[in-house]
Amino acid sequence: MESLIRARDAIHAPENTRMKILKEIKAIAKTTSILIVVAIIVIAAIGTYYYLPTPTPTPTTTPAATTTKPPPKPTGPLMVYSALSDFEIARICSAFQEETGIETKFLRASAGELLARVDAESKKPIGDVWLGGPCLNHEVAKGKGLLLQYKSPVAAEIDPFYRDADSYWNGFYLGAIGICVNTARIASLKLKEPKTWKDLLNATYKGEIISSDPSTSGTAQTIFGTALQLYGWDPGWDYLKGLNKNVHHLERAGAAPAQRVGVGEAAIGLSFGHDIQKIIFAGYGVKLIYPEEGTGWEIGGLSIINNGPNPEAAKVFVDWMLGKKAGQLHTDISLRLSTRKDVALPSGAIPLSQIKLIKYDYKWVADNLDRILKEWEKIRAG
Amino acid sequence: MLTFSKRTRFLSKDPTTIGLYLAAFLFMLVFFLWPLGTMVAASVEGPSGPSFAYYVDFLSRKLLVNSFWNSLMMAVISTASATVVGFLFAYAMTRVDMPGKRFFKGIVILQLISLPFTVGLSFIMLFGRRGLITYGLLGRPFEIYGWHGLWMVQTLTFFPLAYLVLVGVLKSIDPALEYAARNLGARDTHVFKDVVLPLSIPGVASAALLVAMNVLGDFGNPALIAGDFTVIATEAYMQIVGWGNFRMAAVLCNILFLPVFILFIAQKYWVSRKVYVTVTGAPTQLGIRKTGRLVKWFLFSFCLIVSSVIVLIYASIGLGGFVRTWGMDYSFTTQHLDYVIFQGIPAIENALIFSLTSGLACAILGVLDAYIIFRKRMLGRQLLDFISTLPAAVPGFILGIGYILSFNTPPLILTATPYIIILNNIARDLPTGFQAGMAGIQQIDVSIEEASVNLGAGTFQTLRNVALPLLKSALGAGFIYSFIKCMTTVSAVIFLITPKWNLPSPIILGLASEGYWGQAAALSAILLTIVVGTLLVCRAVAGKRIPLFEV
Repeated sequence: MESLIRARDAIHAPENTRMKILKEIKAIAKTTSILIVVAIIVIAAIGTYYYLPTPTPTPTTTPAATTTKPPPKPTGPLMVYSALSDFEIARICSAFQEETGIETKFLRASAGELLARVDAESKKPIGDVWLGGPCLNHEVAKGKGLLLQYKSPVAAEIDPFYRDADSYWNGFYLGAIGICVNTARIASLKLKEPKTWKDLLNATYKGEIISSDPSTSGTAQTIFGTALQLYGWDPGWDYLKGLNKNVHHLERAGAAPAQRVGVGEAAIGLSFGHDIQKIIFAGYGVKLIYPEEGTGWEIGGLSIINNGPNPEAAKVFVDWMLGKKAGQLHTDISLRLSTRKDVALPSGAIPLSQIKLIKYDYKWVADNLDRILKEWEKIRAG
Repeated sequence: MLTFSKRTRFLSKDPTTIGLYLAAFLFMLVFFLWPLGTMVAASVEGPSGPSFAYYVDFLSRKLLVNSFWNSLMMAVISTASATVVGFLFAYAMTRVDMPGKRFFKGIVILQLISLPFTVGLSFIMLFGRRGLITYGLLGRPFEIYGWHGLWMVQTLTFFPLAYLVLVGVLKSIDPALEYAARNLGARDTHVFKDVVLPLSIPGVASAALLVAMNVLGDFGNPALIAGDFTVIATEAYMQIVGWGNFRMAAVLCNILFLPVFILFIAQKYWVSRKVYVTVTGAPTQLGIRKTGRLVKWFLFSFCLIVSSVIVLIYASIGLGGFVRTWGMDYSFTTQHLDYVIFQGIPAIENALIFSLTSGLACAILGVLDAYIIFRKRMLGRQLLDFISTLPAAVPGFILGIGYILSFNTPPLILTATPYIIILNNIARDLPTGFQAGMAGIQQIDVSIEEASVNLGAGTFQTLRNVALPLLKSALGAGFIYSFIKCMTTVSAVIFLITPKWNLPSPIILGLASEGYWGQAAALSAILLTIVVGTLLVCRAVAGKRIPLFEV
């Protein structure tokens, strides 16, 4: 700044003073460049300092050692991989950090991305905890040996239906697929609101449906699984082909269709009910409809990544996250239905008892995911 | 010409050169060629020996084959349009006396330094179904998703690259030739058709090849706006995130790399050799020749329209961060900014750390690299020249995927460290530093260094006391260019970031694909402010000494 003022003065100054000022500017420039170099070194040093202590936190704590003497209080940093939305993870992580003093960092990615990431890093895992995303992704990860078996003492407070029988993952919320309708847009197009899955095939909805892509989104995988289990393999694919004809475009993330429909880019969107309810609570003119035939659902999974850098802190996180307090916080900010009975749902949200669910076998979807994606690729190719 | 033995004897007396030379080779070998090699190896690795099963699988998958053709098609049409726009801009700036040139140049620079997917992001905000212009002002729905939307976006994103090459070419064509043609009775159209155009053809080809390479490798814009139009870059990403199939992703990368590599070879060894330089020794005193009024105002309005669209793009990014819900509720809010401060600032700090370190490294390595290539007659210097410029042609996501495949297993485990991102940045941006160094070295008379050697100084001393001080501005330029490139890089780092070492540009792409336009716009605006601010400060401080974007 100073040099700028000097430069302005220099333009109006007589010749000899001008030279003097220019010299000064040069000196300032020199000091600035020295300062920049110093800053770089300092920043680089800080960067290295931050990084270096990471690989060392208690990597050698074996189960045998922990039985002989009381385990040391786990310390951070804890690396959280999460498929929830950025804002929710930030709130949850900072609450956890405040309560336990364990430094927590997170990375958000869609469920499919996280699975690929955890798989790719399996030789040297970076994440400790995997928070959220349909349990079918956790189930696939379990099958690949990417998860750590951990029987959390808090898990007993949750219905076994929502938990993995082998304790590789625990469900902390339940979500059901819903249809999101932009009331203003559907009225202006003079269309009827869809009530059922079958309704979505109606040719009048052409170009008015936004959904997500099963290659990246767990939501879309649940939608595909629902259609295939509701109608059976071949009729299910016929249904999905028909639906695809009406689809305007597919989003990468499963919550995005609700957002886009909220804004009015299309009349109808397919997302999880809680993602749609969030849009409603934010004040958009949107309606949530659960299909009459019944709908598919997910259990939001929470698991510990095998051989992660900080398993002790990860266990503390899992115990905390499955507890009542964190459950209530998560439901309050996300409107997802908690798997804990003692967590209250914010008023205005549709409770589980009012949603018709289908008999949905997520394990079947997990086992057949490759086959489903292959078939889908053929449809996309046209 | 020195004989081989003389040459080696001469080198044994020059440990500095040998050391630098080996270090440069080693660096490129480990951090550039190895990841690329791993990628090729991964794609042909079978249970027993090499197998082409994945390539056969690729050919049988219609969608993937289609996306290959789509990529090529998009490259062809976007290259054509971007080169035309770039040429008209360059012609207007160098041949036409018209108002607002500084403004137009500023616009081009802004496009050059901004996030690679800015245009894609703002196009949906402006021209989407609920876009401010298409819906808000014109009140008619318009489909932006698809190949035509991508085409417009890629044209606007990459025409500045063509412009940059073409300005240089047009400047090097002596205006005297045009005067001569005019004096001989040629009309304006003939002067253009028979003099300017033929002379600039190699430059046009060079610019087109550069644009084509970049369009083929672009990831962010197709990810945002391509809709059902699939391209290889996004499909490779899907193969990884959806299927966990790194092999198939490697196959796609290799298949895409083939045309890119051919374009690179064509540009480096064929087209660039054909550039006609008509400016010799003494500069001509002839200024810009007056163009017809029709041409002048046509070009002016053309530049004005293109620039206005770009201004709109940045205005929408700036505004988007401060309105509640773009497309619906345009009331003022700071809630997106609050988020950015909470979550984005640590990522921006990381980006600054990475960009400063890798920018510095690129500048120094690039200049040293250029020095030994252009001043020392070493065996294999052409090879070093080749592998120092090649990274510019390798699409970011290819090198990113190559890095995870190479550096998450022994002997060198770098995943989850900040170094993997820094090294990736350096390897990718070395050509930037190299080019700055090359430009600097070509301006210094070799006799100055010879004088230093004659006075008894070794290579190290000459380098330290003579060459490097003279190359200060080249170092500065290399640093700033690479710094800016690192700040905005996306596709290369998308698989390398970790919870601890997160970066703003992948966060922005993630927010945008989740539908959080406001937050994405706010974070983009902050990132752009930093980049533009850096450039302005550097221009103010270094002013005349470091030529930055002299377009």
